[in-house]
This record gives sequence, structure tokens and C-alpha cells, in this order.
Amino acid sequence: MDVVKRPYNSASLEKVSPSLFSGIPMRKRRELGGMLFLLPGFIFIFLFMIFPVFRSLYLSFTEYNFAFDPKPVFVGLDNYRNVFSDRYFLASFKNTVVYSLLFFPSIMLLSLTIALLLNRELRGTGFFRTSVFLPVVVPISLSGIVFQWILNDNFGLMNFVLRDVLPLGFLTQDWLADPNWAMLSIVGVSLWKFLGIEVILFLAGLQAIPKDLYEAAKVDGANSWQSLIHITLPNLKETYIITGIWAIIVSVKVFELPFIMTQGGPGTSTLVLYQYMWNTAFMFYDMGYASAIGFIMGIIILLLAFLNLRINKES
Amino acid sequence: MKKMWILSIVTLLMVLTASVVFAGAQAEAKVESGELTVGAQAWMLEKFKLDDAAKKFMVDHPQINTKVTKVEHADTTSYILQWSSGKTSVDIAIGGSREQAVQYVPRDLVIDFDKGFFDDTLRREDFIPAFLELGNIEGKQYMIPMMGEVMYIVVRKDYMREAGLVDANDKVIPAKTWDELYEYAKKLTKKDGNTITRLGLGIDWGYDFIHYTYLACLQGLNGTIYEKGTNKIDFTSANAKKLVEVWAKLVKDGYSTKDVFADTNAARTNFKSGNVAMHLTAHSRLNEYADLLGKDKISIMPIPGTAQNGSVAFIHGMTIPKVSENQEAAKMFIKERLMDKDYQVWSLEKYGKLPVLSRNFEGVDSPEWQEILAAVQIAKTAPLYKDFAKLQKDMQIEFQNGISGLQPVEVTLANLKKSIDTIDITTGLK
Repeated sequence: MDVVKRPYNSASLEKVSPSLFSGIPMRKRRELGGMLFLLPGFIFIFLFMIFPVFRSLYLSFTEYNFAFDPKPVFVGLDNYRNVFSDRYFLASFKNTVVYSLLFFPSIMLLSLTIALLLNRELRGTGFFRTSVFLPVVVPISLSGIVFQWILNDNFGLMNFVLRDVLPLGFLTQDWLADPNWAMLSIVGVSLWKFLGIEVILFLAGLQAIPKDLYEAAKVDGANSWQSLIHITLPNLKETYIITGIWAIIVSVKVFELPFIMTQGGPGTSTLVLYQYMWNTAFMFYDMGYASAIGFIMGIIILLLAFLNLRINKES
Repeated sequence: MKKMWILSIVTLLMVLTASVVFAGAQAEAKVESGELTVGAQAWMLEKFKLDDAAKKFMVDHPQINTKVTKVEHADTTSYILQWSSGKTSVDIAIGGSREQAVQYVPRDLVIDFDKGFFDDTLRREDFIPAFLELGNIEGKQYMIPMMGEVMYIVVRKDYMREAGLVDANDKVIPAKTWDELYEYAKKLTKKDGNTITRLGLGIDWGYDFIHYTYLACLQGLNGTIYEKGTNKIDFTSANAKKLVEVWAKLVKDGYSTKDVFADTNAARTNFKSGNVAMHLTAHSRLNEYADLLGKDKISIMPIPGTAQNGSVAFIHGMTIPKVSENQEAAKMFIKERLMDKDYQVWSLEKYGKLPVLSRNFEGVDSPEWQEILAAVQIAKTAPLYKDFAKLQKDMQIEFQNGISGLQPVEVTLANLKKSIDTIDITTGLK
């Protein structure tokens, strides 16, 4: 039996339900149809993104302990004012900045270097690419627990290897309980965990650079170093923007690893903004203050991302 | 006429009797059917035979389909959200102490056990007072204790023997003061060159235990946890200062370890691997360690001063949400199964979790348990502050700073004093 294929046209729709569309011009009908298709997406975005943002903005101007208070009480800018005299907020802000300053350049530099090495078609490259990416698939909570054990002062693998396998006993440390080492240890574990993603992004960027640029440079007598400086690095501009924004976001919203590995300690040595916000919201139930901290963090991330964008665009 | 009267009265009595019987049967039917869900923290399923209790309960009440569900921790937030929106995933929520229970009270989310729970089969007096008190919030019993714990020191007896810290009867000689305990820790610490191979004393300074640790030690020293004439935890007395100074010195001199700051179980793990000689923690570790290392190697001793002044006790308690449709069945399950001597003694003998009813201690005659029971009878409880969680976090931060030498002990205590003066120390209930 022959199947007659008819092209879609709105006239056929009109036949099916004339009352629904009659009197509406064709262009309007198309717009209406498009909007109907977009509606579920809009509802989702409104319910789960826009509404919560505005709700927490409102909460940030209130005092509200959701276990004890029947409803939020408006306190104006008090929460925002209190934030800047709160020593734990200031400590967590400082720690987040320190973490970011250590993490951001390290991950950018290391991942670019590794990507450059892995971009060569040599034997075993696939193995190394997989090895670098492997930590990314390990759940972050599991990584935290495992490294908490590895870095333990008394029974940890790290100190065991340094002391008993290598003759480097003088390097052993109380990695997570010593305030001078705790943050560095967390940065180290973060690099192990997140490096793979950045390497993949840089590799994608490197492979998008047209090969003929290198060939032309070679013809002009450029050596590898000159090709790197004058072709590779400038052509990765778009990649710097993506990897940069990603690294900034990861740095500023660091939470899981310090939360699992040190609970912010010793003292406040590894207490970061997200953890302080989490404590305030879900341990102290102080939703108003926690919302204010959240908005301050949001502003910081936006400013840094904007800065990164500007720097890369200008260069 | 008279016959008519008699007939009428007899009929009336019959109707009344029938209605009472019918109502009773209806109430029984309400209790005897439906689903009962018991939510407990994962570790509890191992340390209390909850699954078995549910099965036995179903044998006794075949119409009540009873199941136990696991939760990762006493997640007060989820329960508040659930219960305040009129829903519940559990009929009994097991876990936490009254610091958790108090969060449910302002919104009237949990039942008051004073109404229709205690009777001749289970009276208030049957409970160990300190444990029952831990479920009491402003005179109302919102939580029933299931298992109890008390802060103590668990020791390696074989190491104590080596160090000459046992008497002629092979009993551990308790340290009477913190200076003495420091000396014990010094004696028990072993070094191989510059490497410490065994630590004298592990103290639970992690977030989960810091408040119990401090309060138990303070209670032992001062006979109270409060500042004189107030209901504020004491951070100003000479003994409070002395205590934190000894803690800092223990760490500085290498007789105690800071790794509990990061891994709250570090002292426990180190003790199990033979790297710690004494562990200041919840008494229940006694069984865990004895099972692993052998009974003859493990013993206990009170935290200095607590034998006279009492230590600090805490519970793993139970609440019933008001939105539960199976409140009567839940009460029955608690009374019939969870308070049952067999289960409670099993949990004591296997995992050291203390029975909460005095009568369940009958027949438990090991000297260690008798000592612990005596300690529980005079134990004190942590205060019930609305902002206790804030104070607990501050205690973790400040004590860790003080113990690590990041700030002087005076600053640590001054910061904590500031903290307790700032937070809300009422129960938060109007």
C-alpha cells in the first residue's frame, strides 16, 4: 500500500480544530506554537532557578531560623552589615582567596603543560591521557575520604612512604591537622581531582589550531619554542576563557574536599565560604544570614568571571 | 411498669457495654493494622537488632507491616521539612539527642510522650534518670532514649601494666588529676628515635565530640559545667584554663595527637591499631576494642574527677512525628521491642551501648559495667540552648586553635566566653 506523505501545513491543523486557531493570523499561530513548546522550559527555569534566587534575595534581608521562627522578620541590610564584622566569615573569605590564589594558577599552568605534552602523537599517549582523566570519574566525596586516610599523620600512606619506603622521613607532616599544611594538602588533592577536565579542555583547544599554521612557521624557520609562543599560546585564547572561568568557579565554590577532609579545621584554617554558608544554613538554620553570604559569593564569582573575560578579550 | 424500667436499664447497660467493647475493638483494630516504618541511622542497624525487632513485632502483631529504613545521619532538616508539610517517611525517627528533638518542638512536629506512653508496664521511674532527662524539653518528654553513652577513658591494660599503672590486683589506677593524666600519657608514649610509635592519650576533639569532651572534663574538675550562678557553660574558671593548657601541652610535647581535627575517628583507628594507649571518648568503645584486641587488654578509667562529680551522658533517642498515622503502633513497638531486655543487653554486650532502663542492667555483673552504671547514675547532661549548634562549632574552632598553638589559651577561652554571651541560650521555645 502506498503511503502518501503530506507536508505539514497549518491549514491541516485548522481542519482538525478550527475553533482553536480560527481568527488568529498565521504568524501569530506560529509564535503561539513556539511559545507553547518553550513553556515547559520556562516553567522549569522559573520554579527552580528564578524563583529560588528571588526568594533567597528576599531572605537575605530577613532574620529567619526555619526551625524556630514562624516566618521571616525583615531586618533590612543587617545581614550584609554583620557579614563584614563576622570573624568566621572573614576567615573563610581569606581562606577562599588563598585557596583560589593557589589553585587557579596551578591548575591553569599544570593542565596546559600536561595538555602540551599529551598533544604529541607518541606511544603511550592514550594511556597517559586516560590516567590524567581518571580522578575526574572518582566521586569527590570518596576522594576526600581516601585522601583523609592517605594524609593521616600516624597511619597514613603518605607519611609511611616518606618515612619507611623512601629515606625522606624529615618530610613527614601532619598534613591535615597542621594549620600550615592543611590548606596546601587540600589544594593538592583538588589539583589531582580536577586536572583531568582542564587538560581535556586544553587538548580540545590545541587540536583546533590549524596544522598549516605550524607548517608555515616551520617553512619560515621557526623552532618549537617560537611556535609555542607565537602560534600555540595566542590561539588558545578562547580556551583560556572557558578554562579560566571554570577554574574560578571551582576555586570560589570549593566545598566538598575541605568539608570531608578537615571540616574546616584545624580551627578555621580550611574553613571556606561555601562551608561557612552551609554551616549557617543547615547547622544553625539561620537562613537569612546564609542567603546574604550566598549573594556575596555570587557577586564575587560574577566579578572574577567578568575580569577574566575582560583580560582575555583585551589580550 | 417496674419490669419496663428494669428492661430499659438492662438494655441501656447492654448498649453501653457493647459500645465500649466496640470502641475498644476499634482502637485495637487501629493499632493492629497498617504500616509501621522505623527510620534509623545506618550504624544503628548494626549495633541494635532493629531488623530482628521489626520481625518479632510482626509475629506478635501480624497486621502491622513493620519495616526499618536506613538514614545516613539524624537529618533534622529533612524531617522538619517533611513533617511541617504534613508528610512523613517514618513513624519513628531514631537518632540524635534532645539537641535535635528541640528543633521539632516550636512547630509542634513531634508527639509528647507524657500523653499515653507511660503506664504500669513502663513507668518514668524505670528509666535511668540522666537518660530520660535527655529527652525532656521544658518539662515535656518529646524524645525517648533508646541507647545511652557516657564519656570515659578506655585504656590498653597491657600497656598500663608495662608502665606500672596497675595495682596489685591488676586494676588500672585511675589518674586523679589532669597533671597525673599528663604523666600517664608521657609514660605511655613510645618513641623510636624522633618518630613517635605510640601515643599516650587520644582525645576526641573532632566536631562530633568536642562539646561532650569539654563538658565531661569540666564537670570532673568543677563539679558543674556552668559558670557560677548562671546557666552558661563555663569558659572563665581557673580549671577551664588549666584543662585547655594541659590539652595544648599534651599535643605540644607529642603525647597526644591532633589528627582527630581532620578525621574524627583517628584516635579510635589509632587505638585499634595499637598506636594509642588511652582514649578519652564514649565508654562504648570498650566493647569494640575488647572484641578486636582481647578483653584482657582493655579496661576503663574515669576522666579525672568524674568518679565523684559525674561525667556527661548522651543518648540516641526516638521521636514520633505528629503527622504519623501509626502513632499507637509506634508507641507499642518502642515499648514492646526497643525497650526489651534481650535487645538492650545484646547491644550492651556486643557494642557497649547502655540500656536505658535500670531493670535491664540486672544480671549484668562485669565490674566494668557496674562502674559505668554507677557513673551514669550521677552523670550530667549537656545544656539545651537554641543556638547550641553554633556554640559547638565555635568550640571546635577555638579549641582546635588553642590546642594547635595558633592562639593562646586565654584567647581561646575569651573567644568562647564571647560566643556564649552572644548566642541564644534559651531553649527558643515560647
